[in-house]
Amino acid sequence: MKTKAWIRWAAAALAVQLAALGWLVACYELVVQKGEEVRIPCGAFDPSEPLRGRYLSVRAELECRDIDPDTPLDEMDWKTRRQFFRKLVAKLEPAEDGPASHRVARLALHPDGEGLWVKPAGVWESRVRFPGKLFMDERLAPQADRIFAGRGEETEAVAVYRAWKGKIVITDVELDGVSIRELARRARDEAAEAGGEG
Amino acid sequence: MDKRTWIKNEIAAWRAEGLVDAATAERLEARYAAAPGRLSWGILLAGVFGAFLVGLGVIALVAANWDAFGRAARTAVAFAPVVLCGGATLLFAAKEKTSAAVMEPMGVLWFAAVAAGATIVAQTYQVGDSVAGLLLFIAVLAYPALFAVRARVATVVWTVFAIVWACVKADEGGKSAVLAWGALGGIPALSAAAWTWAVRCRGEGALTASCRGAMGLAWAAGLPLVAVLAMPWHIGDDWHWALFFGAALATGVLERWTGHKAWSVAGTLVAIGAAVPTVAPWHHGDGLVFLFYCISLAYALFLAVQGVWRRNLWRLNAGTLLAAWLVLGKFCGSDVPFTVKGVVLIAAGVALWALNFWMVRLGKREAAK
Repeated sequence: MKTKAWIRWAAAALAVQLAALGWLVACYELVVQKGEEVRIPCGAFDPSEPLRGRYLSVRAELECRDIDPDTPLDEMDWKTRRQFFRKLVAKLEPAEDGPASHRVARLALHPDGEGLWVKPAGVWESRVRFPGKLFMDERLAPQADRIFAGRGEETEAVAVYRAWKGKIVITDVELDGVSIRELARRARDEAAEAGGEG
Repeated sequence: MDKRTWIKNEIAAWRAEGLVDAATAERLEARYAAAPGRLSWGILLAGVFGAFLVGLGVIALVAANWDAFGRAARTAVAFAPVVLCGGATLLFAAKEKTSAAVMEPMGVLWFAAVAAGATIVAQTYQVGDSVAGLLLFIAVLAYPALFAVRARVATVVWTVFAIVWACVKADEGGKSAVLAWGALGGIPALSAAAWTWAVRCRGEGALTASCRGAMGLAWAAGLPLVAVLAMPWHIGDDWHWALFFGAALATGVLERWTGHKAWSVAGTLVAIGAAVPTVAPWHHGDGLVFLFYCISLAYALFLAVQGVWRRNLWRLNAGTLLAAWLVLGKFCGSDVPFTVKGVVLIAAGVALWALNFWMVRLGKREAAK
Protein backbone atom coordinates (compact mmCIF):
# COMPACT_ATOMS: atom_id res chain seq x y z
CA MET A 1 0.00 0.00 0.00
CA LYS A 2 1.31 3.45 -0.87
CA THR A 3 2.30 5.92 1.84
CA LYS A 4 -0.56 8.30 1.07
CA ALA A 5 -3.09 5.47 1.30
CA TRP A 6 -1.63 4.36 4.68
CA ILE A 7 -1.87 7.89 6.01
CA ARG A 8 -5.39 8.35 4.66
CA TRP A 9 -6.71 5.10 6.20
CA ALA A 10 -4.97 5.59 9.54
CA ALA A 11 -6.14 9.19 9.79
CA ALA A 12 -9.71 8.20 8.91
CA ALA A 13 -9.67 5.38 11.52
CA LEU A 14 -8.35 7.74 14.19
CA ALA A 15 -10.90 10.42 13.29
CA VAL A 16 -13.80 7.94 13.47
CA GLN A 17 -12.64 6.63 16.86
CA LEU A 18 -12.15 10.06 18.39
CA ALA A 19 -15.49 11.26 16.99
CA ALA A 20 -17.34 8.23 18.41
CA LEU A 21 -15.76 8.53 21.86
CA GLY A 22 -16.23 12.30 21.79
CA TRP A 23 -19.88 11.83 20.89
CA LEU A 24 -20.43 9.67 24.00
CA VAL A 25 -18.76 12.27 26.19
CA ALA A 26 -20.65 15.18 24.58
CA CYS A 27 -24.03 13.45 24.91
CA TYR A 28 -23.53 12.93 28.65
CA GLU A 29 -22.05 16.38 29.32
CA LEU A 30 -24.85 18.16 27.42
CA VAL A 31 -27.53 16.32 29.41
CA VAL A 32 -25.70 16.99 32.70
CA GLN A 33 -25.08 20.67 31.94
CA LYS A 34 -28.42 21.57 30.35
CA GLY A 35 -30.75 18.96 31.81
CA GLU A 36 -33.32 19.18 34.54
CA GLU A 37 -32.57 17.39 37.81
CA VAL A 38 -34.79 14.39 38.53
CA ARG A 39 -34.65 12.61 41.90
CA ILE A 40 -36.19 9.18 42.34
CA PRO A 41 -36.20 7.00 45.51
CA CYS A 42 -34.05 3.94 45.02
CA GLY A 43 -32.45 0.83 46.40
CA ALA A 44 -28.89 -0.22 45.47
CA PHE A 45 -26.29 -2.95 45.82
CA ASP A 46 -22.78 -3.53 44.49
CA PRO A 47 -22.13 -6.04 41.70
CA SER A 48 -19.40 -5.87 39.04
CA GLU A 49 -18.99 -6.57 35.34
CA PRO A 50 -15.91 -7.71 33.44
CA LEU A 51 -15.31 -4.61 31.31
CA ARG A 52 -16.34 -1.58 33.34
CA GLY A 53 -15.67 -2.94 36.81
CA ARG A 54 -17.73 -2.35 39.93
CA TYR A 55 -20.89 -0.35 40.02
CA LEU A 56 -23.89 0.36 42.20
CA SER A 57 -26.89 -1.39 40.71
CA VAL A 58 -29.58 1.18 41.36
CA ARG A 59 -33.23 0.21 41.34
CA ALA A 60 -35.21 3.40 40.70
CA GLU A 61 -38.79 2.93 39.54
CA LEU A 62 -41.93 5.01 39.27
CA GLU A 63 -45.51 3.99 38.68
CA CYS A 64 -47.65 5.12 35.74
CA ARG A 65 -50.98 3.74 34.56
CA ASP A 66 -51.60 6.35 31.89
CA ILE A 67 -50.84 4.44 28.66
CA ASP A 68 -52.57 5.30 25.39
CA PRO A 69 -56.13 3.94 25.97
CA ASP A 70 -56.42 2.82 22.32
CA THR A 71 -53.58 0.30 22.75
CA PRO A 72 -55.10 -3.23 22.69
CA LEU A 73 -52.86 -4.51 25.51
CA ASP A 74 -55.23 -7.39 26.34
CA GLU A 75 -55.03 -8.76 22.80
CA MET A 76 -51.23 -8.82 22.73
CA ASP A 77 -49.31 -12.02 23.44
CA TRP A 78 -46.43 -11.91 25.92
CA LYS A 79 -43.74 -11.30 23.30
CA THR A 80 -45.61 -8.48 21.50
CA ARG A 81 -46.42 -6.94 24.87
CA ARG A 82 -42.72 -6.96 25.84
CA GLN A 83 -41.72 -5.35 22.53
CA PHE A 84 -44.45 -2.73 22.93
CA PHE A 85 -43.30 -1.76 26.43
CA ARG A 86 -39.69 -1.52 25.22
CA LYS A 87 -40.63 1.23 22.78
CA LEU A 88 -42.43 3.49 25.26
CA VAL A 89 -41.22 6.95 26.26
CA ALA A 90 -42.19 8.62 29.53
CA LYS A 91 -43.36 12.15 30.25
CA LEU A 92 -42.00 13.48 33.54
CA GLU A 93 -43.77 16.17 35.54
CA PRO A 94 -42.80 17.70 38.89
CA ALA A 95 -44.30 15.69 41.76
CA GLU A 96 -46.33 17.60 44.29
CA ASP A 97 -45.50 15.40 47.28
CA GLY A 98 -43.41 12.36 48.22
CA PRO A 99 -39.66 11.77 48.08
CA ALA A 100 -39.46 11.80 44.26
CA SER A 101 -38.96 15.16 42.55
CA HIS A 102 -40.93 14.00 39.50
CA ARG A 103 -43.70 11.59 38.59
CA VAL A 104 -44.35 9.80 35.31
CA ALA A 105 -47.42 11.57 33.97
CA ARG A 106 -47.84 9.58 30.76
CA LEU A 107 -46.40 6.72 28.68
CA ALA A 108 -46.58 6.84 24.89
CA LEU A 109 -44.93 5.42 21.80
CA HIS A 110 -43.77 8.90 20.72
CA PRO A 111 -43.41 12.21 22.60
CA ASP A 112 -46.88 13.64 22.53
CA GLY A 113 -46.81 17.41 22.96
CA GLU A 114 -44.64 19.65 25.15
CA GLY A 115 -42.97 18.59 28.39
CA LEU A 116 -40.00 16.61 29.67
CA TRP A 117 -40.08 13.34 27.68
CA VAL A 118 -37.40 10.72 28.32
CA LYS A 119 -36.58 7.20 27.18
CA PRO A 120 -36.58 5.06 30.35
CA ALA A 121 -34.36 2.01 30.81
CA GLY A 122 -37.42 -0.22 30.73
CA VAL A 123 -41.17 -0.36 31.19
CA TRP A 124 -43.18 -3.36 32.32
CA GLU A 125 -46.92 -2.96 32.81
CA SER A 126 -47.22 0.11 35.04
CA ARG A 127 -43.65 0.14 36.35
CA VAL A 128 -41.17 2.52 34.71
CA ARG A 129 -37.48 1.73 35.39
CA PHE A 130 -34.71 4.34 35.06
CA PRO A 131 -31.00 3.79 34.19
CA GLY A 132 -29.51 1.74 37.00
CA LYS A 133 -25.73 1.43 36.71
CA LEU A 134 -23.65 3.93 38.65
CA PHE A 135 -20.03 2.97 37.97
CA MET A 136 -17.74 3.72 40.87
CA ASP A 137 -14.13 3.52 41.94
CA GLU A 138 -13.17 -0.13 42.57
CA ARG A 139 -12.43 0.48 46.25
CA LEU A 140 -15.32 2.84 46.95
CA ALA A 141 -18.07 0.55 45.58
CA PRO A 142 -17.85 -2.07 48.38
CA GLN A 143 -17.90 0.76 50.96
CA ALA A 144 -20.96 2.23 49.24
CA ASP A 145 -22.61 -1.20 49.31
CA ARG A 146 -21.95 -1.54 53.06
CA ILE A 147 -23.26 1.98 53.74
CA PHE A 148 -26.39 1.26 51.73
CA ALA A 149 -27.02 -2.06 53.46
CA GLY A 150 -26.48 -0.55 56.91
CA ARG A 151 -28.57 2.58 56.46
CA GLY A 152 -31.46 3.25 58.86
CA GLU A 153 -35.10 2.93 57.84
CA GLU A 154 -35.54 6.68 58.07
CA THR A 155 -32.66 7.39 55.69
CA GLU A 156 -33.88 8.72 52.36
CA ALA A 157 -32.08 7.15 49.40
CA VAL A 158 -32.52 8.82 46.02
CA ALA A 159 -30.98 8.30 42.60
CA VAL A 160 -30.11 11.65 41.02
CA TYR A 161 -30.63 11.96 37.26
CA ARG A 162 -30.42 14.69 34.66
CA ALA A 163 -32.94 14.70 31.82
CA TRP A 164 -32.73 16.66 28.56
CA LYS A 165 -34.14 16.24 25.07
CA GLY A 166 -35.36 12.67 25.51
CA LYS A 167 -32.25 11.45 27.34
CA ILE A 168 -31.90 10.69 31.04
CA VAL A 169 -28.54 9.92 32.67
CA ILE A 170 -27.67 8.97 36.23
CA THR A 171 -25.22 11.28 37.99
CA ASP A 172 -25.25 10.20 41.61
CA VAL A 173 -27.00 8.41 44.46
CA GLU A 174 -27.63 10.36 47.65
CA LEU A 175 -28.41 9.32 51.21
CA ASP A 176 -30.16 12.12 53.10
CA GLY A 177 -28.83 14.59 50.56
CA VAL A 178 -25.17 13.48 50.73
CA SER A 179 -23.47 11.84 47.74
CA ILE A 180 -22.80 8.10 48.18
CA ARG A 181 -19.32 8.68 46.72
CA GLU A 182 -18.58 11.23 49.43
CA LEU A 183 -19.92 8.91 52.15
CA ALA A 184 -17.88 5.98 50.81
CA ARG A 185 -14.75 8.14 50.64
CA ARG A 186 -15.25 9.25 54.27
CA ALA A 187 -15.80 5.64 55.39
CA ARG A 188 -12.63 4.55 53.56
CA ASP A 189 -10.55 7.33 55.12
CA GLU A 190 -11.94 6.56 58.58
CA ALA A 191 -11.14 2.86 58.11
CA ALA A 192 -7.61 3.76 56.97
CA GLU A 193 -7.11 6.03 60.00
CA ALA A 194 -8.42 3.37 62.37
CA GLY A 195 -6.08 0.84 60.74
CA GLY A 196 -3.17 3.25 61.10
CA GLU A 197 -3.91 3.88 64.75
CA GLY A 198 -4.38 0.15 65.41
CA MET B 1 16.02 -23.31 12.72
CA ASP B 2 15.53 -19.69 11.70
CA LYS B 3 15.55 -18.52 8.07
CA ARG B 4 19.01 -16.97 8.30
CA THR B 5 20.62 -20.20 9.57
CA TRP B 6 18.73 -22.16 6.91
CA ILE B 7 19.95 -19.95 4.04
CA LYS B 8 23.52 -20.03 5.46
CA ASN B 9 23.44 -23.85 5.44
CA GLU B 10 21.93 -23.88 1.95
CA ILE B 11 24.63 -21.56 0.57
CA ALA B 12 27.30 -23.78 2.14
CA ALA B 13 25.65 -26.81 0.48
CA TRP B 14 25.50 -25.05 -2.93
CA ARG B 15 29.17 -24.20 -2.63
CA ALA B 16 30.06 -27.78 -1.68
CA GLU B 17 28.07 -29.08 -4.65
CA GLY B 18 29.74 -26.59 -6.95
CA LEU B 19 26.53 -24.77 -7.84
CA VAL B 20 28.04 -21.42 -6.85
CA ASP B 21 31.65 -20.30 -6.63
CA ALA B 22 33.32 -18.92 -3.49
CA ALA B 23 32.87 -15.27 -4.52
CA THR B 24 29.14 -15.70 -5.24
CA ALA B 25 28.65 -17.62 -2.00
CA GLU B 26 30.32 -14.81 -0.05
CA ARG B 27 28.16 -12.22 -1.79
CA LEU B 28 25.04 -14.22 -1.04
CA GLU B 29 26.00 -14.69 2.61
CA ALA B 30 26.72 -10.98 2.94
CA ARG B 31 23.35 -10.17 1.36
CA TYR B 32 21.36 -12.33 3.76
CA ALA B 33 23.45 -11.42 6.78
CA ALA B 34 22.91 -7.72 6.24
CA ALA B 35 19.31 -7.73 5.14
CA PRO B 36 17.53 -8.82 8.31
CA GLY B 37 17.02 -5.63 10.21
CA ARG B 38 13.68 -7.24 10.96
CA LEU B 39 12.70 -8.36 14.38
CA SER B 40 11.41 -11.86 15.00
CA TRP B 41 7.79 -12.48 16.00
CA GLY B 42 8.94 -13.54 19.44
CA ILE B 43 10.73 -10.27 20.10
CA LEU B 44 7.77 -8.31 18.75
CA LEU B 45 5.38 -10.15 21.03
CA ALA B 46 7.71 -9.73 23.98
CA GLY B 47 7.85 -6.02 23.26
CA VAL B 48 4.08 -5.80 23.10
CA PHE B 49 3.47 -8.00 26.17
CA GLY B 50 6.18 -6.29 28.16
CA ALA B 51 4.66 -2.93 27.28
CA PHE B 52 1.24 -4.35 28.19
CA LEU B 53 2.47 -5.39 31.66
CA VAL B 54 4.22 -2.07 32.22
CA GLY B 55 1.00 -0.35 31.04
CA LEU B 56 -1.00 -2.40 33.55
CA GLY B 57 1.44 -1.38 36.24
CA VAL B 58 1.01 2.28 35.34
CA ILE B 59 -2.79 1.82 35.34
CA ALA B 60 -2.56 0.23 38.81
CA LEU B 61 -0.54 3.21 40.03
CA VAL B 62 -3.10 5.62 38.48
CA ALA B 63 -5.96 3.52 39.90
CA ALA B 64 -4.50 4.02 43.37
CA ASN B 65 -5.59 7.65 43.04
CA TRP B 66 -8.45 7.13 40.56
CA ASP B 67 -11.23 8.68 42.66
CA ALA B 68 -9.18 11.88 43.00
CA PHE B 69 -9.49 12.50 39.23
CA GLY B 70 -12.39 14.47 37.80
CA ARG B 71 -14.35 13.55 34.67
CA ALA B 72 -12.13 15.70 32.44
CA ALA B 73 -8.93 14.03 33.68
CA ARG B 74 -10.42 10.56 33.20
CA THR B 75 -11.48 11.49 29.67
CA ALA B 76 -7.94 12.65 28.92
CA VAL B 77 -6.62 9.30 30.25
CA ALA B 78 -9.13 7.48 27.99
CA PHE B 79 -8.32 9.44 24.83
CA ALA B 80 -4.53 9.59 25.27
CA PRO B 81 -3.66 5.97 24.26
CA VAL B 82 -5.93 6.14 21.18
CA VAL B 83 -4.38 9.44 20.06
CA LEU B 84 -0.86 8.12 20.75
CA CYS B 85 -1.44 4.90 18.76
CA GLY B 86 -3.09 6.75 15.86
CA GLY B 87 -0.39 9.41 15.90
CA ALA B 88 2.40 6.82 16.00
CA THR B 89 0.84 4.95 13.06
CA LEU B 90 0.62 8.18 11.05
CA LEU B 91 4.23 8.97 11.91
CA PHE B 92 5.43 5.49 10.89
CA ALA B 93 3.39 5.69 7.67
CA ALA B 94 4.85 9.13 6.85
CA LYS B 95 8.37 7.73 7.36
CA GLU B 96 7.40 4.71 5.22
CA LYS B 97 8.04 2.27 8.09
CA THR B 98 5.00 0.14 7.33
CA SER B 99 6.54 -3.34 7.57
CA ALA B 100 4.78 -6.07 9.55
CA ALA B 101 7.52 -5.76 12.17
CA VAL B 102 6.22 -2.28 13.01
CA MET B 103 2.53 -2.53 12.17
CA GLU B 104 1.67 -5.87 13.86
CA PRO B 105 2.45 -4.69 17.41
CA MET B 106 0.96 -1.32 16.48
CA GLY B 107 -2.32 -3.05 15.58
CA VAL B 108 -2.43 -4.92 18.91
CA LEU B 109 -1.65 -1.77 20.86
CA TRP B 110 -4.21 0.30 18.94
CA PHE B 111 -6.88 -2.35 19.50
CA ALA B 112 -6.08 -2.43 23.23
CA ALA B 113 -6.09 1.38 23.34
CA VAL B 114 -9.55 1.55 21.75
CA ALA B 115 -10.91 -1.10 24.14
CA ALA B 116 -9.41 0.68 27.17
CA GLY B 117 -10.56 4.12 25.99
CA ALA B 118 -14.14 2.99 25.30
CA THR B 119 -14.30 1.19 28.64
CA ILE B 120 -13.05 4.18 30.63
CA VAL B 121 -15.45 6.54 28.83
CA ALA B 122 -18.36 4.12 29.38
CA GLN B 123 -17.45 3.80 33.07
CA THR B 124 -16.94 7.53 33.65
CA TYR B 125 -20.06 8.62 31.75
CA GLN B 126 -22.34 5.76 32.85
CA VAL B 127 -22.83 4.79 29.19
CA GLY B 128 -24.81 1.75 28.12
CA ASP B 129 -26.53 -0.95 30.04
CA SER B 130 -25.41 -4.26 28.54
CA VAL B 131 -21.91 -5.73 28.21
CA ALA B 132 -22.82 -7.03 24.73
CA GLY B 133 -23.48 -3.48 23.49
CA LEU B 134 -20.10 -2.30 24.75
CA LEU B 135 -18.35 -5.29 23.14
CA LEU B 136 -19.99 -4.51 19.81
CA PHE B 137 -19.09 -0.82 20.13
CA ILE B 138 -15.41 -1.69 20.77
CA ALA B 139 -15.36 -4.23 17.90
CA VAL B 140 -16.90 -1.80 15.40
CA LEU B 141 -14.68 1.06 16.53
CA ALA B 142 -11.46 -0.98 16.45
CA TYR B 143 -11.97 -2.51 13.02
CA PRO B 144 -11.03 0.58 10.93
CA ALA B 145 -7.73 0.76 12.81
CA LEU B 146 -6.99 -2.93 12.16
CA PHE B 147 -7.83 -2.44 8.50
CA ALA B 148 -5.63 0.66 8.34
CA VAL B 149 -2.56 -1.06 9.78
CA ARG B 150 -3.23 -4.51 8.17
CA ALA B 151 -2.53 -6.22 11.50
CA ARG B 152 -3.02 -10.00 11.30
CA VAL B 153 -2.66 -10.92 14.99
CA ALA B 154 -5.05 -8.18 16.06
CA THR B 155 -7.54 -9.20 13.35
CA VAL B 156 -7.49 -12.77 14.65
CA VAL B 157 -8.08 -11.47 18.21
CA TRP B 158 -10.90 -9.31 16.80
CA THR B 159 -12.63 -12.53 15.66
CA VAL B 160 -12.73 -13.62 19.33
CA PHE B 161 -14.37 -10.29 20.22
CA ALA B 162 -17.03 -10.81 17.58
CA ILE B 163 -17.62 -14.40 18.78
CA VAL B 164 -17.92 -13.31 22.43
CA TRP B 165 -20.36 -10.54 21.46
CA ALA B 166 -22.47 -13.01 19.48
CA CYS B 167 -22.47 -15.48 22.40
CA VAL B 168 -23.42 -12.87 25.01
CA LYS B 169 -26.19 -11.57 22.75
CA ALA B 170 -27.47 -15.06 21.95
CA ASP B 171 -27.45 -15.85 25.67
CA GLU B 172 -29.41 -12.67 26.48
CA GLY B 173 -32.14 -13.67 24.01
CA GLY B 174 -34.55 -11.22 22.40
CA LYS B 175 -34.88 -9.90 18.88
CA SER B 176 -31.18 -9.34 18.10
CA ALA B 177 -30.34 -12.88 19.30
CA VAL B 178 -31.27 -14.06 15.78
CA LEU B 179 -28.52 -11.81 14.41
CA ALA B 180 -26.14 -13.10 17.06
CA TRP B 181 -26.89 -16.76 16.22
CA GLY B 182 -26.39 -15.88 12.55
CA ALA B 183 -23.03 -14.31 13.39
CA LEU B 184 -21.99 -17.36 15.44
CA GLY B 185 -22.65 -19.69 12.54
CA GLY B 186 -21.43 -17.17 10.00
CA ILE B 187 -17.99 -16.49 11.49
CA PRO B 188 -16.62 -20.03 10.89
CA ALA B 189 -18.44 -20.27 7.55
CA LEU B 190 -17.24 -16.88 6.32
CA SER B 191 -13.66 -17.44 7.44
CA ALA B 192 -13.67 -20.79 5.59
CA ALA B 193 -15.01 -19.07 2.47
CA ALA B 194 -12.45 -16.27 2.83
CA TRP B 195 -9.67 -18.81 3.14
CA THR B 196 -10.78 -20.66 0.01
CA TRP B 197 -11.09 -17.37 -1.84
CA ALA B 198 -7.66 -16.20 -0.69
CA VAL B 199 -6.02 -19.49 -1.73
CA ARG B 200 -7.63 -19.41 -5.17
CA CYS B 201 -7.08 -15.73 -5.92
CA ARG B 202 -3.91 -14.72 -4.15
CA GLY B 203 -2.01 -17.91 -3.39
CA GLU B 204 0.22 -17.90 -0.31
CA GLY B 205 0.45 -14.58 1.42
CA ALA B 206 -0.49 -12.45 4.37
CA LEU B 207 -4.20 -12.51 3.57
CA THR B 208 -4.26 -16.30 3.26
CA ALA B 209 -2.37 -16.69 6.52
CA SER B 210 -4.69 -14.33 8.40
CA CYS B 211 -7.77 -16.03 6.91
CA ARG B 212 -6.39 -19.41 8.03
CA GLY B 213 -5.67 -18.05 11.49
CA ALA B 214 -9.16 -16.56 11.75
CA MET B 215 -10.67 -19.82 10.55
CA GLY B 216 -8.68 -21.92 13.02
CA LEU B 217 -9.69 -19.60 15.82
CA ALA B 218 -13.32 -19.46 14.74
CA TRP B 219 -13.52 -23.27 14.74
CA ALA B 220 -11.51 -23.80 17.87
CA ALA B 221 -13.20 -21.07 19.94
CA GLY B 222 -16.51 -20.61 18.17
CA LEU B 223 -17.66 -24.22 17.96
CA PRO B 224 -17.24 -25.06 21.69
CA LEU B 225 -19.16 -21.86 22.49
CA VAL B 226 -21.96 -22.89 20.13
CA ALA B 227 -21.92 -26.35 21.74
CA VAL B 228 -22.17 -24.83 25.24
CA LEU B 229 -25.06 -22.55 24.24
CA ALA B 230 -27.00 -24.96 22.07
CA MET B 231 -26.55 -28.11 24.17
CA PRO B 232 -30.00 -29.43 25.15
CA TRP B 233 -28.74 -30.76 28.49
CA HIS B 234 -26.93 -28.77 31.16
CA ILE B 235 -23.31 -29.46 31.97
CA GLY B 236 -21.57 -27.81 34.90
CA ASP B 237 -20.11 -24.39 34.04
CA ASP B 238 -16.66 -25.57 35.11
CA TRP B 239 -16.69 -28.28 32.43
CA HIS B 240 -16.86 -25.57 29.72
CA TRP B 241 -13.09 -25.24 30.18
CA ALA B 242 -12.67 -28.90 29.28
CA LEU B 243 -14.52 -28.21 26.00
CA PHE B 244 -12.15 -25.37 25.11
CA PHE B 245 -9.02 -27.33 26.03
CA GLY B 246 -10.39 -30.21 23.96
CA ALA B 247 -11.10 -27.95 20.96
CA ALA B 248 -7.60 -26.47 21.24
CA LEU B 249 -6.12 -29.97 21.23
CA ALA B 250 -8.23 -30.92 18.20
CA THR B 251 -6.98 -27.83 16.38
CA GLY B 252 -3.41 -28.85 17.17
CA VAL B 253 -4.12 -32.29 15.68
CA LEU B 254 -5.58 -30.59 12.58
CA GLU B 255 -2.27 -28.77 12.18
CA ARG B 256 -0.54 -32.15 11.88
CA TRP B 257 -3.14 -33.26 9.37
CA THR B 258 -3.25 -30.13 7.20
CA GLY B 259 0.34 -29.03 7.74
CA HIS B 260 -0.72 -25.41 8.32
CA LYS B 261 0.99 -23.75 11.26
CA ALA B 262 -1.85 -21.22 11.60
CA TRP B 263 -4.04 -23.98 13.07
CA SER B 264 -1.50 -24.70 15.78
CA VAL B 265 -1.23 -20.99 16.58
CA ALA B 266 -5.04 -20.80 16.77
CA GLY B 267 -5.13 -23.87 19.05
CA THR B 268 -2.49 -22.33 21.32
CA LEU B 269 -4.46 -19.06 21.44
CA VAL B 270 -7.67 -20.89 22.35
CA ALA B 271 -5.94 -22.92 25.07
CA ILE B 272 -4.50 -19.66 26.43
CA GLY B 273 -7.98 -18.12 26.19
CA ALA B 274 -9.41 -21.05 28.17
CA ALA B 275 -6.64 -20.79 30.75
CA VAL B 276 -6.94 -17.03 31.31
CA PRO B 277 -10.29 -17.03 33.22
CA THR B 278 -9.20 -19.83 35.59
CA VAL B 279 -7.52 -17.08 37.61
CA ALA B 280 -10.99 -15.89 38.78
CA PRO B 281 -11.53 -16.00 42.57
CA TRP B 282 -12.22 -19.47 44.01
CA HIS B 283 -15.05 -20.15 46.37
CA HIS B 284 -15.80 -22.99 48.76
CA GLY B 285 -16.22 -26.25 46.83
CA ASP B 286 -14.43 -25.04 43.70
CA GLY B 287 -12.24 -28.13 43.44
CA LEU B 288 -12.74 -28.44 39.69
CA VAL B 289 -11.87 -24.77 39.13
CA PHE B 290 -8.67 -25.27 41.13
CA LEU B 291 -7.86 -28.35 39.00
CA PHE B 292 -8.24 -26.32 35.77
CA TYR B 293 -6.10 -23.55 37.30
CA CYS B 294 -3.36 -26.12 37.95
CA ILE B 295 -3.73 -27.52 34.40
CA SER B 296 -3.48 -23.94 33.04
CA LEU B 297 -0.35 -23.26 35.08
CA ALA B 298 1.19 -26.54 33.89
CA TYR B 299 0.28 -25.66 30.29
CA ALA B 300 1.89 -22.21 30.68
CA LEU B 301 5.12 -23.77 31.96
CA PHE B 302 4.99 -26.39 29.17
CA LEU B 303 4.72 -23.59 26.57
CA ALA B 304 7.62 -21.66 28.11
CA VAL B 305 9.85 -24.77 28.30
CA GLN B 306 8.86 -25.72 24.73
CA GLY B 307 9.81 -22.17 23.69
CA VAL B 308 13.29 -22.46 25.25
CA TRP B 309 13.76 -26.00 23.89
CA ARG B 310 12.83 -25.04 20.33
CA ARG B 311 14.39 -21.56 20.60
CA ASN B 312 10.93 -20.25 19.75
CA LEU B 313 10.40 -16.84 21.29
CA TRP B 314 6.70 -16.78 20.41
CA ARG B 315 5.99 -19.85 22.57
CA LEU B 316 8.38 -18.76 25.30
CA ASN B 317 6.65 -15.40 25.59
CA ALA B 318 3.14 -16.85 25.39
CA GLY B 319 4.00 -19.34 28.17
CA THR B 320 5.78 -16.76 30.32
CA LEU B 321 2.97 -14.26 29.91
CA LEU B 322 0.30 -16.85 30.74
CA ALA B 323 2.22 -17.99 33.82
CA ALA B 324 2.70 -14.35 34.83
CA TRP B 325 -1.02 -13.72 34.33
CA LEU B 326 -2.03 -16.75 36.42
CA VAL B 327 0.33 -15.89 39.26
CA LEU B 328 -0.03 -12.08 39.10
CA GLY B 329 -3.81 -12.42 38.68
CA LYS B 330 -4.01 -14.13 42.08
CA PHE B 331 -1.59 -11.56 43.48
CA CYS B 332 -3.66 -8.63 42.12
CA GLY B 333 -6.85 -10.14 43.56
CA SER B 334 -5.29 -9.98 47.01
CA ASP B 335 -5.59 -7.04 49.43
CA VAL B 336 -2.07 -5.77 48.74
CA PRO B 337 -2.08 -1.95 48.14
CA PHE B 338 -2.38 -0.83 44.50
CA THR B 339 1.00 0.94 44.65
CA VAL B 340 2.74 -2.37 45.46
CA LYS B 341 0.74 -4.11 42.71
CA GLY B 342 1.83 -1.42 40.23
CA VAL B 343 5.50 -1.80 41.13
CA VAL B 344 5.32 -5.64 40.88
CA LEU B 345 3.60 -5.46 37.46
CA ILE B 346 6.22 -3.03 36.13
CA ALA B 347 8.95 -5.35 37.45
CA ALA B 348 7.28 -8.31 35.66
CA GLY B 349 7.20 -6.34 32.38
CA VAL B 350 10.88 -5.44 32.71
CA ALA B 351 11.69 -9.08 33.60
CA LEU B 352 9.95 -10.24 30.40
CA TRP B 353 12.05 -7.86 28.33
CA ALA B 354 15.20 -9.06 30.14
CA LEU B 355 14.27 -12.70 29.50
CA ASN B 356 13.94 -11.97 25.78
CA PHE B 357 17.21 -10.08 25.75
CA TRP B 358 18.86 -13.15 27.29
CA MET B 359 17.19 -15.47 24.74
CA VAL B 360 18.35 -13.32 21.81
CA ARG B 361 21.93 -13.22 23.14
CA LEU B 362 21.85 -16.98 23.68
CA GLY B 363 20.62 -17.49 20.11
CA LYS B 364 23.35 -15.23 18.71
CA ARG B 365 26.01 -17.03 20.71
CA GLU B 366 24.82 -20.40 19.43
CA ALA B 367 24.66 -19.08 15.85
CA ALA B 368 28.24 -17.79 16.16
CA LYS B 369 29.42 -21.25 17.25
